[in-house]
Amino acid sequence: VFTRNYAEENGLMVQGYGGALAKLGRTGAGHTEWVFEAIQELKAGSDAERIGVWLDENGNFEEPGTPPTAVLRGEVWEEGLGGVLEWTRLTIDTPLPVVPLKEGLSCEYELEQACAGPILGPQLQLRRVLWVPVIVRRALRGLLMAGTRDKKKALPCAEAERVAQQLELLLELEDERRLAAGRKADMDFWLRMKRLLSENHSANMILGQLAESCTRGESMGGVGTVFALIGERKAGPATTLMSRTGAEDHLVVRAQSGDEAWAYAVNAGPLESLWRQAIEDGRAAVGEAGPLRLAKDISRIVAVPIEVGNAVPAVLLVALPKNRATLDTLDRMNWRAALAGEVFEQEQRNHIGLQQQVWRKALLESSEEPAFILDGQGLIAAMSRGAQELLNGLNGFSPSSDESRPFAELFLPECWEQVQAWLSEGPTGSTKAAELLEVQLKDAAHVRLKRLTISGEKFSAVAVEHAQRPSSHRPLRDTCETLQQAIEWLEEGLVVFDESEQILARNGMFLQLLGLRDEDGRKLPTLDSVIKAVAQNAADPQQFAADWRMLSQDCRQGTQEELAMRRPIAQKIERYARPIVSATGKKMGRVEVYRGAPALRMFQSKMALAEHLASLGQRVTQIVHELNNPLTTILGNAQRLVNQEGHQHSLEASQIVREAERASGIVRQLLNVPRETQSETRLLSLTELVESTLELERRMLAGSPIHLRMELQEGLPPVKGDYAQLQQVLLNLLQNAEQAMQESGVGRIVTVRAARAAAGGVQLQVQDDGPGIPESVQSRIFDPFFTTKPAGKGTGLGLAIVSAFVRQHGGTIGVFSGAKGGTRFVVELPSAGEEPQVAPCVQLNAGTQAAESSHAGGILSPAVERRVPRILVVEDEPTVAALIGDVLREEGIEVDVLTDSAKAVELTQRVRYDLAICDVKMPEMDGPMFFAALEQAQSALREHILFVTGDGIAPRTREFLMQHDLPYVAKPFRVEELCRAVNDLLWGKRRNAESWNERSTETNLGTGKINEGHRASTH
Amino acid sequence: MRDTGRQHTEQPDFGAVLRHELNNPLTGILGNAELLLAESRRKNLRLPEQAQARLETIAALAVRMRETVRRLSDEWQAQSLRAAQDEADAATPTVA
Repeated sequence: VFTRNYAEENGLMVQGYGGALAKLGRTGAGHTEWVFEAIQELKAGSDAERIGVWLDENGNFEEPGTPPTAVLRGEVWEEGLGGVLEWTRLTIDTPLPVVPLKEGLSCEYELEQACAGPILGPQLQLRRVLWVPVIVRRALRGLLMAGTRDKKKALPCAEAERVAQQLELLLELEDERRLAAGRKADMDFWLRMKRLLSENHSANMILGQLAESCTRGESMGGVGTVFALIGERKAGPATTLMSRTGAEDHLVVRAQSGDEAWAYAVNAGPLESLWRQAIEDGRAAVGEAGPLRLAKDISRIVAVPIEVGNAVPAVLLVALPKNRATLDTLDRMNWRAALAGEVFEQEQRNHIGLQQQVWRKALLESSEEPAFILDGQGLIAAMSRGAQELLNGLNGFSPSSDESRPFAELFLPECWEQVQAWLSEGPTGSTKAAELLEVQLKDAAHVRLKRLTISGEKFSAVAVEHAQRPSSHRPLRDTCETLQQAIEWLEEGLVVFDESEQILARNGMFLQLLGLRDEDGRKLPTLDSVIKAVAQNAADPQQFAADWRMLSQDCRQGTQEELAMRRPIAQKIERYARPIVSATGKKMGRVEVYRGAPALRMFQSKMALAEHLASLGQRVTQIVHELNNPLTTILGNAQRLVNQEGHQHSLEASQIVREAERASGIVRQLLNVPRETQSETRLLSLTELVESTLELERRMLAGSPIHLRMELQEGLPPVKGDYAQLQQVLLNLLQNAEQAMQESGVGRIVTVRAARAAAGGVQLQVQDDGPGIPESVQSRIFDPFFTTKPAGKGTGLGLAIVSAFVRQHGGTIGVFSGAKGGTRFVVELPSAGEEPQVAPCVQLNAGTQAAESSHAGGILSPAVERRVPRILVVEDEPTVAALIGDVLREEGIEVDVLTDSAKAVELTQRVRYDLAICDVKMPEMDGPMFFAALEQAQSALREHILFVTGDGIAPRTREFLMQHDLPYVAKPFRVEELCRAVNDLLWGKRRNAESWNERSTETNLGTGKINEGHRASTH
Repeated sequence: MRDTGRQHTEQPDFGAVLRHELNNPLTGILGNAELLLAESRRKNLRLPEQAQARLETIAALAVRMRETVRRLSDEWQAQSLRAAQDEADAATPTVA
């Protein structure tokens, strides 16, 4: 055994040799090259038969005292063989002479003597071996080996020592370079952090950058840890399941970088004990990563306490990879923890600052005294509530934009200079500064400015003291305006009279409740004029006028009465009146408050919506028209496809049919949105309407567990209205109840009541014992498109239509639904006020249509095979025209299709047609004109004409068709519908085609649906 | 009262609902028609000329309807906005 000094003592150091190895360090070559070069140098001039050189993998640092488990990587050269691959990795373990090597001692020994154990590894077959350690800063970083098979051969001891020294230098250099690069990167990073801190970025963002700088690779200036996490301690146990119960505090992750899974393990197991230890010791705690499942490439976990003042509010946790567990890394972590401490400190400072700011502002704003904080330029920086109020009283100052306006502008222009000069005199205490200044505000009020003692160098605080109270000098006009604004927001109607019955003030609600428009109200200055304008709106005008006049003569303390109104809606309103008496007891006038019934108040808002709906009606007609033409064609074409291509593509084609039917269903529903038209009104009996509608509905409900009950008061006055609309109202309400009951399975009885209403009208009630309507929904059920049903089921128009129809009849509708279920809709309609002379209410039998389904079949039934009929089709829409032509031709009918109605008239004079099919709406000559032309020519065809309408039966069309009792089909129609109508007309069964006198419920929603069996029988 | 009033007269976006309600069936129509057309092209099946023409008509009309619906609902929206504006103007309190 010899020591390193051996070589030096014996002068064996060969100077100048091995320049190649030294050079390598400068060129930045890797460890592989070093090893190779070292072997070359040991080989030269030596008898060694085997030479090995191993170095640690890129700075794997073994702390003194840790078990020798490190693995070195290197090369072995064997004389005559070259590189020997199996020994590239070397574990520093027995049978190597571990202890001396670790202490930096070289060893040379003969194997039979030195090694009792099995001879393994690179020492295999050798008899004499030399080991030289490479030690950098007390840590074993590499090994050199030389050996011979012959004991007598000399080993290159001196050479090996020299090479080892060079490698030590190279490694040290490498370490220092890395260290320097890291330090430089850290320095840059520190500067960036400082900037972020000074710019007051959010703490989380800065901490995030800190964490990220730990995990970033070394080449990017980071440390290269596997993960990094900055956790803040919070009181109370953690909420995660993994946490140890009963702990006083836990770690909340403020920032993290790298594998996120670590964040979940922070409050449990080894990670938790580690950070607790770090906090307890006040210094970094290092733990083995072994027991952690996540620890794949990790050698150590380090917890570094983050200190702020004397407290440790947070911890930095990092995991070091195998080759980074060095003291330098620990240094850099400590340094980052210090930085994080600064961030936390700043955060605390900001928090306190912010709180103080809020407190100060709260104090300032709660102050009733007008006080301003002004900056150096005399701009308003902040103000108290009193000051805010002061400003609100001045014209030209709005509450939002006053801060940072010049303070002087508060005053009359002639005072500006004076104020500025006074402000610039400086804070209180300076000898020449006057404490007080008397000036005039913009509204000419006299005020005293007072410098407050808290004024400093850069700002001043000024209090404004009124010579008088502000209210007393505020112009009367302003006061009136303020009061008017205030009463305008009352929910009640309010009017104030003076002692001579002149109106001093009133609000919009007063006018609205009595049925006056705003502009009319303005023209009515006295009680008399108001009575004149309003009396006719009352149920009993004379009584109404007398009562009110009486009030003016004798108004006792707090009179309360009820007024029955007929317009704008029939309702009872309450009136409270109270005299205004001066301090001396003199009567100065009277204030009256009007209140509508809550339900009716709600209804008034509904009215506005319904009105809007009506104006939209016009638009709907247009939409329907524009959509119906293409829809008709699509439907027709698709049906033909189904029938013809039946077997091949029936699925897709019938899907098209279904979708087209769905679309036309939606379009048809749009029709039901009320239009701005006069409805067909006549006197009708509510009793009869209820009876016939319920009979209809009972048929629909056959087999269902729901029962309909009817409670009709006798001798009800008639109602003036549109039978179809009112029937729709009842039907929709019934269906609404039934659907709710069916879907929920709750309830089984629907009761319909017709009775006299309190105000002389008629009341229709639909009550069910179903699930009820939740209160949250009640206010919206009359809104169009409001539905509680899933998408695709119901359009949400049903109750909107009900509401609109009732409104068109001058009626009201309300809903009552309790928490326990059960819903009651109450419709009140004004009575016609005459004896019930029930008009012949047309046979309203919606069953007509259903019954028709049996009457179908090909147009040419075999029994009536006479001559081929010829039909003229007049339709301006080419696609629809072509479709009708196609359909009829396939039925074996001769068809002429014309898009120009004028030409069609000409044609009728030359050709004998059995039937004309004519569109109602066409440019130039439309359907009615075409019909008139036929009548004028006395053409027989005028008796054989079928109209096609696309606008969903607009009132004008409807009138025309009714007047001449003409049959029609509505677009979009199904092929069968057209065929059936044509069939009926050709063979004289005209009554079976749809015509106005037979099909009275235009609003039947089921029109577009025809049963499937019907379709099959058509062809 | 005024507040609730405003809430209730808030316009339902009729145009958007119309578009939504109609576009679904239209998509179905267009999709199926195009599916059939594509299938016949792919398999090189000659559909009967008439059927081919019908399908093309259906597809073209469905596209046209979609455009119509879009245009109408846009117009509708514009109109509703105007109406809402008028209402807001009318609701400005009057001062005696």
